[in-house]
Amino acid sequence: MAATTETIEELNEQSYEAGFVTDIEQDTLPPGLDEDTIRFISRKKGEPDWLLDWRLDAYRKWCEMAEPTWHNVTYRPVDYQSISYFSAPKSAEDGPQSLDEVDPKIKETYDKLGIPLHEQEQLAGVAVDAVFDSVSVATSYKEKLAEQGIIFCAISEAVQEYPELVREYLGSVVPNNDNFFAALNSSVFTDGSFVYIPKGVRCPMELSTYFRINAANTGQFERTLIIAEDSSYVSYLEGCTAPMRDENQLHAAVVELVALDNAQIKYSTVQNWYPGDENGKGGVYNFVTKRGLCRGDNSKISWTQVETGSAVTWKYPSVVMRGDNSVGEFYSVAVTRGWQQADTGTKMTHMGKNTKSTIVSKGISAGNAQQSYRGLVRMTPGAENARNYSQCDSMLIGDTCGAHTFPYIDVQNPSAQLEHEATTSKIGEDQILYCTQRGIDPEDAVSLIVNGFCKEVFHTLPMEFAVEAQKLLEVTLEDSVG
Amino acid sequence: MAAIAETRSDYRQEFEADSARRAGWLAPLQQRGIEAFESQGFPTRRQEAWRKVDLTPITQHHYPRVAEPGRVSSALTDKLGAFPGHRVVFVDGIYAPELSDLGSLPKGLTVGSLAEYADGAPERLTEVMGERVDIDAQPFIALNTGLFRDGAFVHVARGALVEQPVVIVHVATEAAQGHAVYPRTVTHVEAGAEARVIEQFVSPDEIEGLVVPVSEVHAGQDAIVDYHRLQEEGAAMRHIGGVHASAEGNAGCRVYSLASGAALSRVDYYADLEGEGVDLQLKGLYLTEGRQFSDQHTYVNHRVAHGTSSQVFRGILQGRSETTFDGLIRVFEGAEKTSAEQQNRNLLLDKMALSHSNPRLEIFNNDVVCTHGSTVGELDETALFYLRSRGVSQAEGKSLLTVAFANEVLENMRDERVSNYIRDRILDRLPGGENMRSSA
Repeated sequence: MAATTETIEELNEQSYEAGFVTDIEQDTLPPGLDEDTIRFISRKKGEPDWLLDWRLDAYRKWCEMAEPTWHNVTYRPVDYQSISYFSAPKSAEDGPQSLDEVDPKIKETYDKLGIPLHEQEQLAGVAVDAVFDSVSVATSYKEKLAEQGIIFCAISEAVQEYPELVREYLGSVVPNNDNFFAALNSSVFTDGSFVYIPKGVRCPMELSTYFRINAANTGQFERTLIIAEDSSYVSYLEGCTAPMRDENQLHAAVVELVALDNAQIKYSTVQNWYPGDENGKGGVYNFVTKRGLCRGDNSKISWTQVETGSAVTWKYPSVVMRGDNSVGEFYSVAVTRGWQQADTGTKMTHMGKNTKSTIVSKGISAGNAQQSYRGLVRMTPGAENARNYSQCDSMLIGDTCGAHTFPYIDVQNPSAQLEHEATTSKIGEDQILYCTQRGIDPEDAVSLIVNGFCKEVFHTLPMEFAVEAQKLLEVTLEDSVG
Repeated sequence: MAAIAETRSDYRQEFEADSARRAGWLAPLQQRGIEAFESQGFPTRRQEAWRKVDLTPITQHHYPRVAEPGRVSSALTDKLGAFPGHRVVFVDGIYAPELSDLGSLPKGLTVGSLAEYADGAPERLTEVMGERVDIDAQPFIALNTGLFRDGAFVHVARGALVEQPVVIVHVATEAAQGHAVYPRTVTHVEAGAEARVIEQFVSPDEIEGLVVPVSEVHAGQDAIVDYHRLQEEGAAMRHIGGVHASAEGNAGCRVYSLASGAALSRVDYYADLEGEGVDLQLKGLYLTEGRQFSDQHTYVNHRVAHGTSSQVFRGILQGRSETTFDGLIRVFEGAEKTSAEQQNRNLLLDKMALSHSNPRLEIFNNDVVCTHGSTVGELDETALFYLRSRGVSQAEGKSLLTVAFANEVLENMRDERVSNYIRDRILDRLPGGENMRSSA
């Protein structure tokens, strides 16, 4: 085991492979936040009055809110007045008419990330709505989706084209005063995705958005809204990387999912934002509010996330099971190394009868990283025969990292059944011995064991993402244990 | 907020009124206590650890300390005989020699009241009293430290083996109506010694007062200590207590708790593993009915390597009662080869009962095995059906399964009298359990 210290150092010294900056002109608002900033964003986007009022309402509530302190992460306080709240690629102002009109530099950036934008049509079944900073620059397969009545577009476009849908559902799951970061997002969000699946339609392909933070000092405030009508199905993928920066970048996104009767939504995330350098300097602050509402009977919402990036993560994808027989799922693999900190988990609120939820969370902590699982399972009095199964396992690599678990369980119905299990351990020497005995070298053995540890979660990812996730994990943990 | 500030100064005045008769050796400790309380104030629901507790009945008006202990009713005197042993009784916080039975103490065992040492205490008491209790951790612990007037001191000398348990009974009487009592207990078991302690809290049903006890339990090197805490006050009482257990190398320290009394009860258990090879067990049962609220918090600190700890808490909830279990295992850097487990199970017997469970882990070391588990649910229908199919009545079957649920806490108790006693208290609350009583 002598190699351990050495290899952990190696792991910590690995530079961030996706760190690069593209120089393109930006139409950026000077830093600062007040009501005029919000009016500017709203005017720039040509939004209707009700949305501006909603934003201003959120801003006023935000002004009275205090930044949360209950989380188990520490970071330098964010100066919200030093952030620029609007940045749109200039060339996008007129709006690209086709893929050919997309700024070649942006295309180059995507190429570096390995997103074959120009080869999208060949890209098996994946439609990409690429978000570059705050404005959507390209949307593909739109026509094909439109044939079935599926709407997949930027939320700013949806505000123009489908105002009644946006107005009905925006803020219905995450109200504009839900929490500090959600209120901030509600007042200044610039773009994001909008998905609407009509009644009885099974979305024929995985919908996917790649996010990328680019301009320095630009907080990114995405707003995603997915609505699945009766008996529909959609699988949505979200993946992110960010260029290398010294300044901490703030990301406060809000994702809202609404599933009506018999509808199913599957939401998968691979998050690989810049985690800061080997001294813990820089890195993205990722403060995200994600919530799904199973509004109809027999509906199902499933969250899968693979979190390997960001300096600080604050994220609790939740499901509110209001409809009878509805199902909520949460599968998560979170890897922290270097000086990364993550406080992540889920909230499952059971309201309807016979509702079921499953939580599987796997945390891997290496170097000086600190990771917490924080979850809440709540059974309200109406949740007859509700079931929950939670499992959260942590694996520690090195003796300077930490893994913490804070599960909250509130049960108000005796017929509800609930199980929670958690373990914390390191990779067993006996496990390594078993592998080496059979001719597998220690490094492969570690990879094998870690992959086995996370397998339950990877199984739930769509194919394209499972490959990416596995690769990410391999790269992240390469040479970590001898 | 003005009301709270006023209440705080009431407690300060009480402390100052006492200063003339305070024993000199206790003065610095009690001074620290009241100051710590003053600086913290009463907790509010905005504090994570007090989120579920409604303290307004306590914070809104001042509970003055009982001035003179009241008369103990015959119903309560009967209860004193529940456990044979070396008995020491405190009535409204004051030592009651006429109810105590301290004849024939074996060699090596000292049991007495703190007030006895008004003129000066032996070193073995002054050195340990309040030493390990963190008065900044919880305001009520600070309040007790500032205002206790008397308390029990149990000392077991190096290598002594005490066969009979030491039984400490805290009785609150009519005099405690609208008043506060601050019981304090210091148990110090020296290296290689072995002892059992039972601490019991009782009061008549209709008395609405405030009981704020603090118990210190310490096991020296290689010592074995079994500490039982039975909180069985009347249905209107409010009980907010703290237990601080600590163990040195290779000691075995077992803390068992029953919380079944009081309208509002809250107990914080702090456990410190100070030496290598410690085996620490913390096992509790909480029974609630009607509109009772019961809250148990644990903090188990693994400070050194090779420690083993186990926490098992089980709740049986009836009526519209509410319970909270908040358990924490904290493994410090350097505490290698720690093995810690934590388990909380709750049985909801009635529709409107509400249970909160927060089993937490904070781990700063990679070479450890820690697990925690938590379940909430009702009785298994198939098990109940099995019993019914064999001619056991519905009510009896339920009682049988409920007692079986509690058994994991009870069956490992080394003192059968205590486990049988607790089992009978569970059956008191259930119909059809007559045949299962230990006396039957």
